Amino acid sequence: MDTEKVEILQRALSREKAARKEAEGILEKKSLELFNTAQKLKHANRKLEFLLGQKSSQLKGVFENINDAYLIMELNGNVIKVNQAAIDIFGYDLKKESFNVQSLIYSEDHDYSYSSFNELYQKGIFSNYTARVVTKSKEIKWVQINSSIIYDDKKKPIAAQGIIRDITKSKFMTEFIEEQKTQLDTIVEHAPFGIALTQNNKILKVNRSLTTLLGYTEEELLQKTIKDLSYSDDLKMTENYMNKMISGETNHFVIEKRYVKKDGSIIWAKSNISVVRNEEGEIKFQIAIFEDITSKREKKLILDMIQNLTHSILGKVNIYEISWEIVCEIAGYLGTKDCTLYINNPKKNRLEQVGTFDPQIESPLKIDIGKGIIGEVALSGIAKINNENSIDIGNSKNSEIAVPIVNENKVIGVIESKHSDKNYFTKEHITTLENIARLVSMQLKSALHLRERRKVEVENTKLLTKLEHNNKELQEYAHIVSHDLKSPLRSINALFSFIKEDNQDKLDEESLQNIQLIDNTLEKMEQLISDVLAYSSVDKRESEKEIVDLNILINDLKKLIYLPKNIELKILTTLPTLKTDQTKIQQVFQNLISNAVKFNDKELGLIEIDVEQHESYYQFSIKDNGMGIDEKYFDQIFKIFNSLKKSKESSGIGLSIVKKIIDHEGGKIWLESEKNKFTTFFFTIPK
Amino acid sequence: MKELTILLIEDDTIEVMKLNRTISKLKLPHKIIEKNNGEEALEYLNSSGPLPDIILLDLNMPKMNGIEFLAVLKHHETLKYLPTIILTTSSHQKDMLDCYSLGVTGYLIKPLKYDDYVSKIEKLLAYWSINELIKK
Repeated sequence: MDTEKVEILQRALSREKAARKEAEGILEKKSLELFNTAQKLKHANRKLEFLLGQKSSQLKGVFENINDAYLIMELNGNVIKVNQAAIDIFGYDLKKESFNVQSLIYSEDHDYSYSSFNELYQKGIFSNYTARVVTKSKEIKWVQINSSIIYDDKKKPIAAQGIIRDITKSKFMTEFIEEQKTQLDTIVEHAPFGIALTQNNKILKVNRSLTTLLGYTEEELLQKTIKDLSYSDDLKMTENYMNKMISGETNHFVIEKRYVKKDGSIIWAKSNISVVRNEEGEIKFQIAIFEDITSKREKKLILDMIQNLTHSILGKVNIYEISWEIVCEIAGYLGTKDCTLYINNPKKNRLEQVGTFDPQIESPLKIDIGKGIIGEVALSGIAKINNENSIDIGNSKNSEIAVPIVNENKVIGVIESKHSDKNYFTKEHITTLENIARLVSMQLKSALHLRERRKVEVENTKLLTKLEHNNKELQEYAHIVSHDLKSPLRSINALFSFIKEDNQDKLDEESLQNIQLIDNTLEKMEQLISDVLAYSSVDKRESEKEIVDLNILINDLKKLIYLPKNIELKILTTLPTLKTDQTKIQQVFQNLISNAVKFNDKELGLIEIDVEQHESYYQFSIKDNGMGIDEKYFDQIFKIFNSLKKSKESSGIGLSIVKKIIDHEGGKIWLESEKNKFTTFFFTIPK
Repeated sequence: MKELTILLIEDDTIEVMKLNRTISKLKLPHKIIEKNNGEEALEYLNSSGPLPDIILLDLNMPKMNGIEFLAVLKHHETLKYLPTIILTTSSHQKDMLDCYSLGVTGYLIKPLKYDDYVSKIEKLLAYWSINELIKK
């Protein structure tokens, strides 16, 4: 490239440069103007924007900026403005469609809605309108609306606005909670346990079970403390636990204790006590749950007692020991200090105390059958409770229970107990005591038998000793008497003999006869005395057994006994031959036949001797047709010196000797008789 | 017949009369010393009076009865040799046993009838009058 060209180019470039520079200057000028204008615009814009922002924020603050749904409607219900939240609730978007609030009203809430709107219209404001709405998608929602009327500058209502809250969820929640509460309450109310909520010892709430348990109404219970309801004896026991709870050592404890019902009776309850503490650990509430274990406890007590009793009386045969065990166990079970066992003494028709737990009783009580509650029970055999009357005022015994001990349908005893509390004894007590009575009746009965037997044995031994002694004494006596009686007889006989001798020729026939009669009398007297002696010696003399043909014996006797001609003695059946003591068997027949002769007042007397063979014995009978014997003397005539008819021939000892011999032989003697007709003596002799 | 000195210990007057009368009736030579009870008899035996050949002793007496008397007598050193015959109404076995065990030489039961009595006494005395007796 040449210089010229270069110069041209350079010149051209310079020109161009100058021109561009000029253009640039113009542009620069124009730009500045523009800039300035722009700046001005910008400013104005900003100002506008600010104003706009101010306005819209103002609007938003009122309308859109609130989270709750917002709605403005004309007074006819046509909606003119909603925010997004309202759209969300109702489903209607004003940009797309118009809607009227009337179409939102749930049919059931119609009346409420109109009356609410009227109120709104009148007062200008309506708070907490709560009702259901139907959304565009036919969903039912619960809403709560606070609304007010919008007025124009002339104070004329032109529209209404409302803030709507969708409370469907919270409504459900409330309902749910309420339902839950109802359910919970139902559970609490219907719980089988008594429940109490307490605060500072005061009962705040109780359930129905507790009112049933204690017999108080809810109102009455709310006036009380748990302590008021507790049985005083058990308070100490609770105190320890309560202290532990207060000190924070424990939050929960379970005890079995007694409570006093409104009617004064006592129940046992398993008490489950828990505390609810606040954040500081202080006791806020106490919850007490009570389970009535009275009957459970009772059953256990009964079982324990029965087990103990069975164990303790096992093998015991002494009535007093058994009774003592029984009254101790029952007193423990009944929780009384007064329990007594009486045994029926049918011989004396009374009850006799054999065991007692009552320390006040020193000497055993005796109660007549039928007297008092105990006597009544013994008579009726039916258990009884006396809870009404003061039974033993002196000892402040207000309740009494008496239960019979029955064995083989006979009341053999009565268990009785008293208590100082009124209405203390229950039907359950009766049932239990009856069970015990059944349990012990057999053993008591056998113990009674044993006691009876031992008594009899002891008595027998005593009797035997006494009898032996008496027998000996009688024999001694008989001998002394016989000696003392015989001596005068001898003297009389001697004296008359002297008289006879001394007056041999002087005495006339009559005097001699009289002396002879005296001799005869003396002989009879001697015989009487010998009989007495014989009687007293019947069982003493060792007998010699020999073969005795009774037919021969009777025939011999006919010669011995003076048998008047008008009296006939007959043997009806051939008599047996016995191996026996001849003297004794002869004495028996001799006495009985003599009696039959002596007491025969008939013109034609008849004495019949008969025998019946039995398997192990002979039964003899001696029948006469004499004067007969009154039945009331049947026992008496066998007693010594009990001659019914004073007779010169009768010593009054004969029948007693007969009875004694027959008793001694192991037989029996009795008689049948009819006055003025007959007398039959029967006696048996074992083979 | 040998003459016997008989000590009759008997409280009953009539019994005494009976023996006396019997002896006189039978015309026996025997001599009778009468004492009313055992005590009196012992007093007599311990005194210086002549000892009897035999003793007829009643059992039932006041103060000291026959058995008691016997017990004392038969334990006495010398008096125990005196033959003693019981004369009683008691046929009681026990009495007889007691008497024989104490060493009586006879036991006679008084019969009811006086005639029987006479006969018994006659035989008794006849028996003793032919016996040899220990003399002081």
